[in-house]
Parts: sequence; C-alpha cells; structure tokens
Amino acid sequence: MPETMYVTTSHPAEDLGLADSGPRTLSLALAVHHLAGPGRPFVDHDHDYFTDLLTTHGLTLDEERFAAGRNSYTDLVSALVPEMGRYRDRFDLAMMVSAAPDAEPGWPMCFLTEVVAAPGLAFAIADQGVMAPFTALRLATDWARAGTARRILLFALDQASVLHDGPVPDHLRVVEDSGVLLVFDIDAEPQGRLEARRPQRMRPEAVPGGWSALLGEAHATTDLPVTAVAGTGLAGALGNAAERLDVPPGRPATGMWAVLVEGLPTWRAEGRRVLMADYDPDLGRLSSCLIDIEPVRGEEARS
Amino acid sequence: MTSLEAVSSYVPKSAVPIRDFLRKHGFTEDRIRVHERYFGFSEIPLDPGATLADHLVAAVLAMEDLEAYRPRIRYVVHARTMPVVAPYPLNPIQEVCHRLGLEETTAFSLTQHACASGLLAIDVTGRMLAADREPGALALVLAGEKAFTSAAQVINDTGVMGEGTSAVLVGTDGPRDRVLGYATRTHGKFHGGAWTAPEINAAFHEEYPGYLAEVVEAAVGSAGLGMADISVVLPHNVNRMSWLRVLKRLGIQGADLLYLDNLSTCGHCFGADAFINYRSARQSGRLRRGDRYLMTAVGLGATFSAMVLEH
Repeated sequence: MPETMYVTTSHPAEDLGLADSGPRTLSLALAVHHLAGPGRPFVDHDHDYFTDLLTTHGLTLDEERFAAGRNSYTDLVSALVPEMGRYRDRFDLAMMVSAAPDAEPGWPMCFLTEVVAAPGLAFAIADQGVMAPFTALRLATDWARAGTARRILLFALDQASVLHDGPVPDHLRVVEDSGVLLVFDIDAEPQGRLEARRPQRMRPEAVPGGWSALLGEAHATTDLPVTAVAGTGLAGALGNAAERLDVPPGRPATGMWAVLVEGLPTWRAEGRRVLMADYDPDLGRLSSCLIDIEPVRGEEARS
Repeated sequence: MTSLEAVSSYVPKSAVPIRDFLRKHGFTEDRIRVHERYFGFSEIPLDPGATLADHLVAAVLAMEDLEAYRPRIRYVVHARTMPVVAPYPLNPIQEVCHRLGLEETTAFSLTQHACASGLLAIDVTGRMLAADREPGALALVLAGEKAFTSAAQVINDTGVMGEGTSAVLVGTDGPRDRVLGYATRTHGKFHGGAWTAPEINAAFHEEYPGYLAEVVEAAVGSAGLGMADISVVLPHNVNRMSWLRVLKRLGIQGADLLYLDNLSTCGHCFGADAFINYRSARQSGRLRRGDRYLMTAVGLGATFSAMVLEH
C-alpha cells in the first residue's frame, strides 16, 4: 500500500488515542508569512466561470477588476512551499483555510500533494469566516492526539479579488493577497506549544466579558508574560492585557497569524504566552488558542 | 465507531433530456449517442430557478425523524465539489443553517476532494464527534451542488452533472451503517482539474481504473474484508464504461455488484451520488441488513476514495 494513501478504520474514541494518551498541544515547528505581489492575469475559462457564477446571483462581472489579475490560492501555496525548508519532504495532514473563496476554480491542496514528495491527507475548510483557522487547529489537535499525524501543515490564505461590486463587510474584506504557513511537527524542537480552545458561542454584547475571561485565564495559568493578539472582531473589546496587539483589518484569514510570525523571534528570546483570539459577528463565535513559547537558552539564542 | 444514522436525498423533479443538454454544449450526434448508449445517461435533473441552499435544505427536510435528530446535531458540513460556488461574501452553508434553525451548530464547508469530499466529511466529522465524546451527538453532512457553468455541467467522457443533493447524519455510536474502512489518495499531477491539457486528460483516463481499484482494495483490506465480502457497490454516477474497466482491475466478473440504477436519470450529482444511491438501494431492497457495502467517489484534482460500511 503506498504510504501516500490515507487509510483508516472507524473511530471509536479509545482507538483514536483520546484517552489522554496523545499530546494535547501542537508543537509549532515553523511559521512563515508571504505577502504577494500584483499577481497573474486571469485566464479565459475564469471569465466564463465567474460570469456564470455571478449571473446566477443577479450580479455582473466587473471587467476592470478582472483585468487587474489575481493571486490564486495555488499561487500562494506555491510561494510558501519553498519556505518549508527541512519540512518539505512529507506531511501527514495538510489543511487550507480562507475566508474569501479562491480567485480561480482551482485545487491548491491537490497541487500541494504533487510538490511534496510524500504527501498525506490534504483538504480545505471554507465558508467559516475568521473562525476557519481555529477549526483547522482543532482538527489538527484531534489528529495529533490520535497519533495519526506527526507533521501537520496549516495554510491560511487571503486573496483580495472580488469580481463584483456587491458589498463585503469590513471584517471579511480582503485588501492584500497573503499566505501564512504553520508547520506542526511532533518530532521537531518546538518554537511554541499551541493549545486550541473550543470556540464559544456568544452574542455581540457578551464579547467584552468573554474576552476578559480569556485574558484572565491566560494570565492565571502561566508564569510567562502574556501577549494578547486580538482579531478585528475584538476591536471594541478592551481587557486587562499586559501587552495587546491588534490585528490590522484587511486579512481575515492570515492577519492574526502574520502577527504571530512577526512576533515569534522576539517572543522566543524572552519567553511568552500568546493568546490569539477573534470574534466572528456573523457566526457569533469567539475563537481562541494559546501558544506557550519557552525562552530559548543562552547559547541557542545567540546562534 | 463512525456510523450513518440517517440518509436522505432530494432530486429535482424537473429534468432535461441528455440529448438536448449535450447539444447545447456543442456535442456531436456521435458523441451524444455514446453518452446515451455506452455511458448510460438519459436525462439530467436540473432546477435553474432554485439556489444551492434551496437544494441542500430540501435534502435535509426529506429526512425522516428530522425533528428528533435536530437537538443532537453539533456540526453541519457541506462536502463541496466546486472550489467557488457563491459570490463572496455569500455563504450558502451558513444560510442553510439559518433556514433550518441550526445556528447553534458549528458549520463549515469541506473542500478540495471535489466529488470525493462527501466521504472525507464522514471521516472528518466522525473524528470530531469521537474526540468530543458526547453521547448521541451528530454531524450533518450535506452534498450536492448547482450545475451553474459549463465546467460544472459536463466532465468530458466522465459524467453529466445533475443537481440532486443528499443529507447524511453521522454519529459515533449508532447501530446502523457502521463505517469499517476508508481509503483516499490524491494524485496531484492532475491538479488542473477540468482545465488540463488534452494529454494530461488522456493520462487521467488511462490511470483512472487503477487508481480507483487501488483505494477500493485498500478500504476493503482496512476493514479486514475481501471483495467477495462486498454485497453491493454504491458508486459515483460516472460513465458505465469506466466502471467496467475498474471491475476488471478488481478481478470482478460482470457488473452485478454495481448499483447503477440512478445513473440514467440522475446523472453525476457531484458528491451526493453514493448517498442518493444508498437511499434507493435501501428502498428497492438491494441493500439488506448485515450487508457489507462499498461507497466510491472520485474528485477532480484528482482524489480517489472508497469507504466500506456495514448495513
């Protein structure tokens, strides 16, 4: 049986290794951010596809925007793959998440299985706003705990091409084509240990309280200094954080994780707990995760 | 153990004769005859006036005892074929949840296995439910789509797309239709999907029987069974001729194992085929208590999948 085939039997909880036998956290081995340039022109069949799609919804394809070109998700994955370094040879599970749909009717996760020598199971989670990356982290945790995935890739992608002039709410609007790759590898020296939390359903008026509770819990259960990374859905929610970083709008799938990529070198030097959270007003969900980053030892820090 | 608690389907009553449909797409009379006589297509269910959400809701509302199941549903997943199905930020799966009063659930789309995403969704939601360890909790997996553009209407020499949909309730402790094994493999050299060069398309058709037979054997083997233990195959509704090549690769004589009763009138309903076939195979008595059976799916891109279940 080829090792690149995903084969499984059914999943009683005990067989999944969920009787507390597997790791409860994900070992973050690599975090990379790619901000794309102007992109390529659309192709003819894209014109047919999007014209038909928009027409069925009473919309018209904006020719000017079409002429502007785009970065597809395959383009973004293609740009991130060379950054995988020593993790490029194989994966057990790869997930792609986005808020906006692709700029072409493409198969970027299938493309990924072609450019990685020993690919595993690859799929995408979509139509879940800013919550999708957190759902992927939850699935990654399930797979890791079950012992069925030792190396997991998470591609968070944003693309800004919208070929109609209908409204897009601020929290979902994409202004830059961007990709973040997170590699979790149980066999690697972790840059941080990520604990995915269950999303909480709450009404908008309850969000400040929910955010404060997350902050309180984050501070109470660690000796590390805490940095809170707040997504755009938490812009109005204040709270008692020693350090708070607000995710700039315009990158609903990647903005938060780009902040992580940027902050990671500093946090590794000093040690940090990072609370990452966002609220999706359409779904009414407060999603979060914690990343514990132990300070690197002196010699390692200098090297 | 992952199980299917209930399966329902919806096939639009309005249909277009395959002859008229293919003529509209510029097929020659010879190719139309091939699709009718050899591939087995007769008519295609289409409802241009209905939305994707309309079709998915109809499949859910066709489910017996829905009201009894509803409080137990924790996840709603659209197992999607086409990469882009609505102008951003329209979100059909969230609309479905809203219309069905399922806003409390966690809902998303699972994609990139194209028409094989339905089997993937059963495996993924089974894992999620198992991890949650909440007795009686269910996931609702929806499949099927709109044939809104030429790339979603006809796949050359493979299938003609219909707009049937299905709804599957996945559980972890039900006695009915337990999942015994699942195998899937993506062959990324075909990641161009419907828009590949002719030589790559030809290579896909050449490799197709072997790739599908490979996951069938792996799924059956992972269930601890052999092909002789399989009572019926609930396939994806693609051309009949391609199935004969797959059976030959599996060493199976004849086509009695295949349930192709819906192919001529339903066409290939994206990821919903195997579940639509399940419904009618049960109703017709083809699927009987204790049967071990196989669901198959192949998605553009190209992903080959097979799942073994016990009824």
